Amino acid sequence: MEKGKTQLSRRSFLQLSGVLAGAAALAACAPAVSTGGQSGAEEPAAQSTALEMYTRLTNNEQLDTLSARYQDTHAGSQLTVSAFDGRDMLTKLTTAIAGGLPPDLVMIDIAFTAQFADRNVLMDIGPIVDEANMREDAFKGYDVGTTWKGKYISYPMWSDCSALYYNKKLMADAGVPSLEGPKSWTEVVEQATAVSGLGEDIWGFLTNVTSSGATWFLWAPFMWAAGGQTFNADLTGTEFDSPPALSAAKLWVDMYLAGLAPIECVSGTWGDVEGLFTSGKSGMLLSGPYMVGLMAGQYPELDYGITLIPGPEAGAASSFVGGDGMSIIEATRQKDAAIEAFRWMTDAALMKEIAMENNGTWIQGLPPRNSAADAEYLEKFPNYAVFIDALKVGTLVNHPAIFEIDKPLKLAFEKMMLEQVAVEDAMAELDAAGDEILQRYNSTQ
Amino acid sequence: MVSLSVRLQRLRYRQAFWAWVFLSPGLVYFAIFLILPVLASVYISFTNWDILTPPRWVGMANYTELLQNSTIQRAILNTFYYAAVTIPVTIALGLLLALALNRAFFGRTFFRIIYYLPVVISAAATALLWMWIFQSQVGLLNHLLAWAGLPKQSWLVSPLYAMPVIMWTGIWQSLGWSVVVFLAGLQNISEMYYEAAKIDGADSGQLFRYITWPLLAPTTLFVLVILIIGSLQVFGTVLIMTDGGPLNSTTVIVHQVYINAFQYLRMGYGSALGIILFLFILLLALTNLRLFGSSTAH
Repeated sequence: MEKGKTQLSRRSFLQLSGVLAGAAALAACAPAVSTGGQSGAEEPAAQSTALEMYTRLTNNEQLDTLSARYQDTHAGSQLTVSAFDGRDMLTKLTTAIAGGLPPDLVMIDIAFTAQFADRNVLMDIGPIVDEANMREDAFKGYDVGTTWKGKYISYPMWSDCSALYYNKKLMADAGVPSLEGPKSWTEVVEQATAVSGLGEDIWGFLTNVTSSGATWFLWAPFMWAAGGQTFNADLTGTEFDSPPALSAAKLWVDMYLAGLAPIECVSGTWGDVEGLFTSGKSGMLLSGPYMVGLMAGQYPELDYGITLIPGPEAGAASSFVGGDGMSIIEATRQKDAAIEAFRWMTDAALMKEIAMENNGTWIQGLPPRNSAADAEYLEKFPNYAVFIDALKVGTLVNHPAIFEIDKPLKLAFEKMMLEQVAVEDAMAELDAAGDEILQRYNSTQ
Repeated sequence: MVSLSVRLQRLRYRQAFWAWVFLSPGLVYFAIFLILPVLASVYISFTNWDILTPPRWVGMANYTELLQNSTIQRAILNTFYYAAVTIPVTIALGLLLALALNRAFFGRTFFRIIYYLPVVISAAATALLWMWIFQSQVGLLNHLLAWAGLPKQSWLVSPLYAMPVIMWTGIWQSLGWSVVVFLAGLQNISEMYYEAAKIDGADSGQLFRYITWPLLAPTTLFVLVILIIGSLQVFGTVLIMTDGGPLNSTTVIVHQVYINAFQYLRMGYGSALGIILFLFILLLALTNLRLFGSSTAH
C-alpha cells in the first residue's frame, strides 16, 4: 500500500474533526440518563424507587434526617430532598413541571398551593387522607387551605401561625395592670400607649408590612377577628372595603400615626422589627412560633408572654394559619411510591416523636395534627400552647392570585402610614385593585 | 480545461463552505441560546401564558395593559431617574479617578485594585453590605451621624432616600469598571501630543480640554453605552435592598419583569415589559452612536 494513501491529509483531518465536534455537540444536547423516576424510563420495581421532593427549606436538618430514615425503613428506596430558597421555589417547581421533569412530592407554602392546584398539577389526595382519617386530625384552621375546587390537594406538613408576643417587663414598668397580654383592641392600644411612654426609643407595638406576605400573616388576622372576610363567597372580588377590614386597618394606622410604632414597621425589613423586640425596646410584636426557639437560645433573659391576636372585643381572636403542606405531583411516574412516602412523612406518631426530640419543633414549625400536638406535647412545651390554639381559631387566604394581591395590600398600608392617605380611600383603592386582579385571573381560566 | 476564473470561483465557494462549517458551532449556539429566546419572547409577549398551561393569543392586550398600569409607569420613571443620576456620576468619578491613577505615585497598584474590587463582588453581597451600613436603627452610617451629633436618618425605609441609596450602591459597584476602561483609554493616548502642547505653552487645563478629552471620546462613548445598558437593567440591589418599596419608590423595569413573570406567572405580560425595555435600550444606544459616534471616528 502506498504511504500517501494511509496518511490522513490535513483537509480530511479537519473534516473528521468537524464531524466529531458536531457529534459531541449533539450528544451534549441529549437528555442525561436519570437515576430517578423522571427520566421517562419504565417505572422501577416497587421495592426500588428513587423519589424526589421539592422544598423551600434550605439546610433543614430534620428533612435530611427524615430522608435518611425513609431510606432505612424502605429498603432499596431513596428520597432526595431538593431545597430551593423561598423566592426560587415557585419558579423551580413551575419550570420543572412544565419541562416534564417534575418532582414526585412537594412541600409548598400552603398559601400558594391553590396556584398549582388550579393548573391541575397536584393529585387529589382526598381518598388517601380520608382512608387514614387524617382530615379531621389536622387543625381546624387548615380547613380552608388544603382544598381547592372540591379537591383535597395538600396535607399540612408543618405549622406556622401568627400570635402576639409581649414584653412582660416593659408592661410592668408601664403600669399595665394585667400581664396576661391584651385581650381586645382597646387593650392593645392602651398597653402600647403605656409602654411607648417609657422612653423615646421604646415602642408600644411592632408589626411589618414590607416582607413578602407579612401583611397577610400579621394584619389579616385582625380583619378576620373583627368578622371580616378576604374574598366574597364566589371568589370574584375582595372585601377590603368592608367595615371589619376598615376597622382593622384603622387600628394599625392610628397606632403608627400616634407614634406607637416605628417607621421600620412600614418599610423596614423583618430583621429590623424583630431586633427591636429582642433588644427589649418594644412592648408588643406580632410573629410566629419560631421566635420561641430564637428567644430561648439567644435572648433567655427576655421575659415575654404570648397571646392570641385579639378581636375588637374580648373573646374574639384569629391567626393566619400557615406553614407548608405536602402534595403529590399528578405527573409523578411513581405514584404508589409517592403515596407511600406521603403517608410515611405525614404520620402523626413520627411528627410527635421528632418534635419531642427537638424542643417541640417539627421541621420548621409545629406539628399540624391534634394527635401529634397532644396533651403530652403541650405539657412539655407550654410556650407553644397559644400557637396550637391559634391553629384552631385561625384561617388562611386561599386563592391562586394571593401572591399578586400582596403587592397592592402592602402599598395600601404604605400609603396610609407614610402618606397619610385616608384609610377609607386607600382601602377602597386596594379593594378595586384586588377585584381587578381576581377578575383578570378568572377571565384567563 | 477549466478556466482560471472558474477555478477561482470554486476556490471561493470551498473557502466559504469551510468558513461556515467552522463558524457553525458558534452560530448554532448563538441561534439556540440568543436568537430563539428573543423571538420566543416576542411571541410570548402577545400571549397569556403561565408556563403550566398552553399560551393563549391576546394580541396587544399585554402592551396596552402595561402602559396603563401606574406601577409600571412608576417603574419606568424610576429606571430613567436611576440612569440619569448614576451614569453621569459614574463617568465623572471614573474619569477623575482614572486621571489620578494614571500618574506615577507610591501605592498606585494597590489603589487600582481597591477601586476595582467592588466590580467582582456579587450584587447580593454588595446589597447586604450597604443594607447593613444604611440600616436605620443599628447601621454604621447612623452610628457615625449620632457620634457627630447629627440626627439619625431613615435611609432605606424612607421614600425620599431609598432610591439615592440604591443609586449610590450602583455607582460604588460600577465605578471600578469605569476607572479601568478610562485608564486603558488614557494609556492609549500618545505622550507625543502632550509634549508638543507643552512646548506650545499649554497648561494642564488646556491639555485635558484639547487633548485628553477629545482623544478619550471613543472610550467615553463605550463607557456611556455600556452604562446605559447596565443601569436600565438594574435589578439585584433593588430586589434585595428594598424589593421596590417603600411606596414603589425604588421599583424598576426589570424588577417588574421579575415580579410579573416569575412570581405571578404572567409570562406574557413580563415578556411585553422586557420588549419595552429592549426598545428603550436600543433607542438610547442608537441615539448615542448617532450623536457621538461620528465625533469619535478619528
